[in-house]
Amino acid sequence: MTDRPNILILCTDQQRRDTLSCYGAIGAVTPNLDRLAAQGARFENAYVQNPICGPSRASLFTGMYVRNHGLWANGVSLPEDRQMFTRTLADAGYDCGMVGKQHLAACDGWQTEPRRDDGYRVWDWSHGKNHRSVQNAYLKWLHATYPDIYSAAFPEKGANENTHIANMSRTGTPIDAVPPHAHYTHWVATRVVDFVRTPRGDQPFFMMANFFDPHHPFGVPQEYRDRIDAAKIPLPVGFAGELRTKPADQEKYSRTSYGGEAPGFQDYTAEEIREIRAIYYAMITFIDDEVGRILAALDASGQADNTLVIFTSDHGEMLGDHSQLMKGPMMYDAAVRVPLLMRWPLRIATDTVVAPPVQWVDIAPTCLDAAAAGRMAQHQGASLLPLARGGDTAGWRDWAMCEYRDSGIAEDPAIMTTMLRKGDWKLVLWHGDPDTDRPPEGELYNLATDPAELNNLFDSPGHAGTRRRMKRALLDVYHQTEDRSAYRPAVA
Amino acid sequence: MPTIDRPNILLIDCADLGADGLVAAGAGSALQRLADAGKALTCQTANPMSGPARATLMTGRWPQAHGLWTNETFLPLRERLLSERLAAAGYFCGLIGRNHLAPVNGWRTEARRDDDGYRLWEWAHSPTHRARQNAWMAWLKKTAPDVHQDLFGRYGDPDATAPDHELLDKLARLSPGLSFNAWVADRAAAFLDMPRGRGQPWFLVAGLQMERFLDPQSALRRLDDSLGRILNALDERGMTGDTLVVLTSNGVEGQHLTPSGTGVPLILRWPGHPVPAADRAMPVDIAPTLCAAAGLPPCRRHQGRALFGTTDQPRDFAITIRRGAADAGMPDVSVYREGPWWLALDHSTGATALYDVANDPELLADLASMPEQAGRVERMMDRMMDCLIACEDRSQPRLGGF
Repeated sequence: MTDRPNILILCTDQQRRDTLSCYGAIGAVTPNLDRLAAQGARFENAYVQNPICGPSRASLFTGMYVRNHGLWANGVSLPEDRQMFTRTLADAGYDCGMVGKQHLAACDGWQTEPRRDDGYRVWDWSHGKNHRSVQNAYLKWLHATYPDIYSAAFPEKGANENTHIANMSRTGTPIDAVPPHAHYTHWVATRVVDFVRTPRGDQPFFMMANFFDPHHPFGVPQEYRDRIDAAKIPLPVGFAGELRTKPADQEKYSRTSYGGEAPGFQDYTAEEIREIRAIYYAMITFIDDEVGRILAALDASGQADNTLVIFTSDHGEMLGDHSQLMKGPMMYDAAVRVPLLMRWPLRIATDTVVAPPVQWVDIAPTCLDAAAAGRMAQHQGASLLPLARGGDTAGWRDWAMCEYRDSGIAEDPAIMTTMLRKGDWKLVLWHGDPDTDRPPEGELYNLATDPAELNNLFDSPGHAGTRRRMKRALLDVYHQTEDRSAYRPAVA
Repeated sequence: MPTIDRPNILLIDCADLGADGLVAAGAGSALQRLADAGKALTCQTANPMSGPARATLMTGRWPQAHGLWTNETFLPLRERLLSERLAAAGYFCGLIGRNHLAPVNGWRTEARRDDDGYRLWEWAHSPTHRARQNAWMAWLKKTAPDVHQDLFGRYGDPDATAPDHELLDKLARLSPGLSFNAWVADRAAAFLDMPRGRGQPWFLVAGLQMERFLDPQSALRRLDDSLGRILNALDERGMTGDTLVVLTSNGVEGQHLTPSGTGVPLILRWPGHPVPAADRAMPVDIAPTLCAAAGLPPCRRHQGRALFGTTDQPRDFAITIRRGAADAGMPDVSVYREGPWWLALDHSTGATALYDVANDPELLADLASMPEQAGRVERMMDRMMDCLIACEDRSQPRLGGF
């Protein structure tokens, strides 16, 4: 066995934190992920840097905050000079692979995502189930392996409206509900198992496994839907008239989702919302099964003890909470707080729970730390291994930050929001002039007394002091997170 | 047929000249005459440190975006310089004096970027900077060998991190005609006479300095004398009518952030063209203004706006930051100014200060803790945050909906 661990990142898309039993989810069926959590560290307060896929993933791969890495919105390419930590791992001798969705460049209009200097030997790219790029590796596999299922799911040659149709679909598209053995989720795991089993002597591997689920459209094979009892899942949080106490755009994101690209919460009956939640949980149960298969392959190949397994997701999902679905400029925990599990039997004790806030910019430094591959100048986060190993948390930051810059569906005028979570408090600023013509608004929540974020204290006279303190703290955090990576020789 | 269809561009960067220099120079000064023939705009530096400010001038980007966040740091290679853009557009480009887009500490010779577009490169960081390639010192050695021998004949003290008093004293007593600024003027005139293509316009960055070893009045007078000589050189060659002159500064580097030290002159003179409609501008506006004057299409990465040819008041706000000078006893501070109000955030202590500049230009009475100012402090913090977001780089194009 080599000293350096294998690193396996299992990354889902649009999965909020409170959807695993180990995070207290009621009605979820996630035995494999719960076991993974028990065998290592579970991070209670993991935040992404942006609630939208592209910008969030760019923070993962570059270790930089959104305003610094340059991929400020979906449809924007990561600038060429930003380096992926996977390249560094490859340079350090790792055998690197990627399966599934990456999203560091525009993929709209079935564009094939251009490869970067990413260090991957294996590149099984597939932006999603309904993404009809000629290079979509999942659809190529499906077409070759199950041509009948492929043809049934896509009877036509395909049109650019596919994405729109997927967004508008209320209970999933045909490709979401194909039999499990032909499903994207199963395909990802199959490719990962193949990669894990590849003989490579003493060379360690890095695998970035990207599941597309539980991203909308909300559809799942029936046998997984059957494993979820919709009645068990709690109803969405919210109360009548809630959105009148929140920034005005949330009302719009309640009427339609995705900036008007998808049906809104208000288009569904309460029963339908309940069903959406059940389907979402079923998609996660499907992933859980497939994660189990991957972990079994690790065990069977004798690599489990020296493999760092990281399970996380690129952002959350409103799932009907606060009368909203999907994602957008909203900075609720539902949208930006994600699961983060780490298992490395040789180094991380079982049943470790990490409470301090951590961020997605910390993941790249964590992987490089585990691989003893040094640190990249551009990295703005820090390795999580000391926390995962139960180290002293005294010097660790007590905040997390999230920056939305018209990052989802483009709005006119643009919507820009910034979140600071610090201690028990969360501040969300909805920005105004000079870069957008919207009236500035805000949210302030006490997560200790109001974890569901129902009670917006931003305009509460009794909390003006806290609001000001948080605004001042945000300006300090903003300063602290500036890009200082330009080369500066040591000054004597 | 006009001799040239694009203007020559003379960019005069006056290191450490504050905005009140224009007033102090007074009637009859070259500064004032330049302003009278063009327009002096109100401007606040984005960062008073020499390197970050020069990088903003040359890239048209905020220090938070161009990456040269403090002195003695390399401007990232992804950044494109004004000189490079103008050279690519056919301009004959030159630099005289300071550049400071790379480290110069330890008296090292600045590593010149190989793509900067300059055909003339007469680099000299300052009159006390003893890099072997300091072009002023080389000129002095040739022009007045005895003086050079007296000043720099001995090797610099290897232990010294700053010039010694004896040298500063000699520099202060140096004949004005041999001074650093005089050299800049001399070389600028020579640049104007360099052979160029027929009808080829030129772009010159001339770096004058407020020499720190002089008292402020003398330093200003010397700077102004040299400015006058450069402008005269244009006149003598009949170039004034074809030349856009822009004069600005980084502000005053080596002091705490104050209105007088962060306000910078911004004078534009372009004979035959209406003066800019704007009364205020930001340092990031200069590069786009010069590119537009040269007929270049707008640059996606420029964060400011061209000042000529529009009747709009440009987007304008006053944010100044200083970073990485803690060794010099100056903490990281961010300032937001709105009218007479000055909000300063000290990021090392978390302190917030509010001053009424109209009544307290020296920033002596911090009003932030006064209950009646709590609302103003908060409103200014909100606005400052929104303005900081306007300094972010979102220039990467959006090629699709996702």
